[in-house]
Amino acid sequence: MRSQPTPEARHRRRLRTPVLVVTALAWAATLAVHLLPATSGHHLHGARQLHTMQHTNDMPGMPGMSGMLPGAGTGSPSNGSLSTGSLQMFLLGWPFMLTAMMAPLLVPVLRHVHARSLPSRRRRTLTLLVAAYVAVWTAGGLVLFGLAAAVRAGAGSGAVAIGSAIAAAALWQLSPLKQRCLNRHHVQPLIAAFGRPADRDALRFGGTHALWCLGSCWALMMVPLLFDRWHLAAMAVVTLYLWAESFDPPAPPAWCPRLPVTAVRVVSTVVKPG
Amino acid sequence: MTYTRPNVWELGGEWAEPILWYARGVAAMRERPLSEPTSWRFYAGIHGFDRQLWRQLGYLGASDRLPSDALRRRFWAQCQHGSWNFLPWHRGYLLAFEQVVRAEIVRLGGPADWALPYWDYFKPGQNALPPAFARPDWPDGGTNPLFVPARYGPAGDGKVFVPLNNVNLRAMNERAFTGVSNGASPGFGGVDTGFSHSGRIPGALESQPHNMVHVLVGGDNGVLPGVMTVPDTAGLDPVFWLHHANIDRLWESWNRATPSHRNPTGARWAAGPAGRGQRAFAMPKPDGSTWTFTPGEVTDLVTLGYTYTDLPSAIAAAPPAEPRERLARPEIAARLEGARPVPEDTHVELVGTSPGPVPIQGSDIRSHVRLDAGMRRKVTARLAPALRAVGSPAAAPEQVFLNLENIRGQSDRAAFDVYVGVPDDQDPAAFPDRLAGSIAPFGLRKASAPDQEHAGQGLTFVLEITQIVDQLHLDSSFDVDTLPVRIVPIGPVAPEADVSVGRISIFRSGR
Ligand SMILES: [Cu+2]
Repeated sequence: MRSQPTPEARHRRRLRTPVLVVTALAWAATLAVHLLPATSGHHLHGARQLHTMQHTNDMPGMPGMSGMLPGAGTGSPSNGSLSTGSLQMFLLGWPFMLTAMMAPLLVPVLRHVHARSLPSRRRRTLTLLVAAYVAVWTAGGLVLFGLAAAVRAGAGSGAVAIGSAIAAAALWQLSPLKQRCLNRHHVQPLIAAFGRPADRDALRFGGTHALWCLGSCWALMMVPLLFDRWHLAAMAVVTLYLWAESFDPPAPPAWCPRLPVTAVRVVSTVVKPG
Repeated sequence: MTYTRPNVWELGGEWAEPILWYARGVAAMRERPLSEPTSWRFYAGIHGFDRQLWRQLGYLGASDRLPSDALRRRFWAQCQHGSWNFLPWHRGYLLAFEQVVRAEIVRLGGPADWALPYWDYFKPGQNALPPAFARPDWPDGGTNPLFVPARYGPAGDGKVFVPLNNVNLRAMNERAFTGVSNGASPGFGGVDTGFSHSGRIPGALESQPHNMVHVLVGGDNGVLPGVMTVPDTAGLDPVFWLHHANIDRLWESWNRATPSHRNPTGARWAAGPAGRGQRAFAMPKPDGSTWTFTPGEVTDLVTLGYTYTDLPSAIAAAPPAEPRERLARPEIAARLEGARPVPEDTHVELVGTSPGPVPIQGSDIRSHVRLDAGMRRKVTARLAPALRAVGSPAAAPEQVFLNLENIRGQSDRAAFDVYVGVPDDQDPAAFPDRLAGSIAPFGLRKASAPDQEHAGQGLTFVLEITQIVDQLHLDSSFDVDTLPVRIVPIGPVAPEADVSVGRISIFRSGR
């Protein structure tokens, strides 16, 4: 069958393609950041190596990975305070991690704002929106980072920390609040086109969108933060799940299991065609 | 065999055989319990279901048992709106319904070639509700199965007809079946979407006349909406099916108007939402089995073995519902001749917007669109030459569109005329050539609910205003900072319904 793209599909692609390219680059960068301290003479290397060795007993993490993880630099699990080393590593990896996980989810919003703002202001509006989005997400990320450190400290062992994070994530996934966040995450509010109100709306939209995004994702995001050795793998799994989830339409909030049915069906039709 | 759907007004009498048998078929379906997939109310539930409204309108009693969860998940709340699936889904819905009615008719000893009549409200003298639907009694005695008390009409007084000044056939001039969601035309049939039970931007035919006829025929009585007024109840009215037979006929007529009026062909269209992991289009058959279909399977009416008694290929050449002066616009004919798919290099850009939301309160709403100076100059620079160059190949013609974005509210009866460029101190009725269009946000209440399919963003309507803007430009009335937009409700909109347009905007589309 002749499969010429529809005009709508063409418009969709114009924005989606560059975002997907950026996402791929972010994954490459995330990978690089993970490998970096282990292979280079990074100034954090020595200190981190030491702490990781202390960890090796209960958490045989790859030296390079645990660096950006909360608590990894603190030496003993009982000490929950954040070392500058692990915080720095977190902040170094964060922009890439955020981009790698969230950029594709932002496509509908970017498309909406791009289409509905004046051509002369498109760049400015999109920049402000993304800046607000990143700012709110980063604040949320720091809270998550602190929370992960606390969980790690409180749990005593890594396995317990991961187990409790997974349990909390599962509970959140079932809750009506999660659905509410997902629903609000689909909202594409109108934005002013001219002057200050346009800037204000772009910032507000970026910020609120990040809040609902945080609400949808925080519990699942916690899980990879607690993994040492399999951090990157856990991050990939969580990312795929979050992407899959975004294919489902809004639904009335309720306590119920929420599986990404649409994405699963798409994958299964691709796997066994006909 | 080929089934021929006849014109309901030309059957040769109020209770001619086809309509009498339709009534008998409907009566038989009505006797079945709600939980049975071939019952009258089950079929209406396939379009949509709202427990509270069904109760209030008397279609759901205390003793009624709802269909099983599995049946409801497979069949109910399926209708496609604000999507290119609108036409194919409703075509399949009609076909399946007709089969069920026909099975009942045959069981009762009626004609095996029975086909659903259509109501062509545009034909002179045929805009009134067909009489068989309008009276509480019927030849077989008892209550007329075609009669619905909650059918209030345009004035809400029970006089049901389609006011011809509120409907039009401009959709028939759309060049492409599918369009875009970013401010330019959504196309004749709608935008390429997935499963879309309450979509955001209706295609041209869905918006006019489809939506408008629903809202004006159903109306409201001041307390409750009419059955036809709300998507979740519309299928309960026997006239719904005649209305949709007409919409389906207009689709086929559009296809026949010119060879370039082609339906989509890609895999996305053909496989439909099911091809993207979403719900399949499924209808219960008379024998209890399920018919699952895709848009690709119902694209060709001839293959399906159906036709209509009247399929004017040049329906657009004489749109009967518009004032004379607008009918005679030569551009329409010119564009029909030069009709071709949308060129690939088309760019859609915002030209201006209203300063904020526009509440629909009162009987005459004045609002303004502030124009960006640079974009305004771009439009005027390209407009005149582009119109003249209609016959030239490949280049995207300059077009201008008015968008009423994110209309929201708690009423399903809202409908309004929208004028562009009428000075604030003038009566818009004196400017019929500045009427951008008439819109009826069918399904507004549900589209405004935050936890429904489209997250409560409401509905967006797109009206082409290229001709108006060109005229204004020639009169030097477009070279202004703010362009007046007037909204005149068709029938009163209750203030407590809180109906508002989120933003009024103007877009250009072209190179
Ligand atoms: Cu309809």
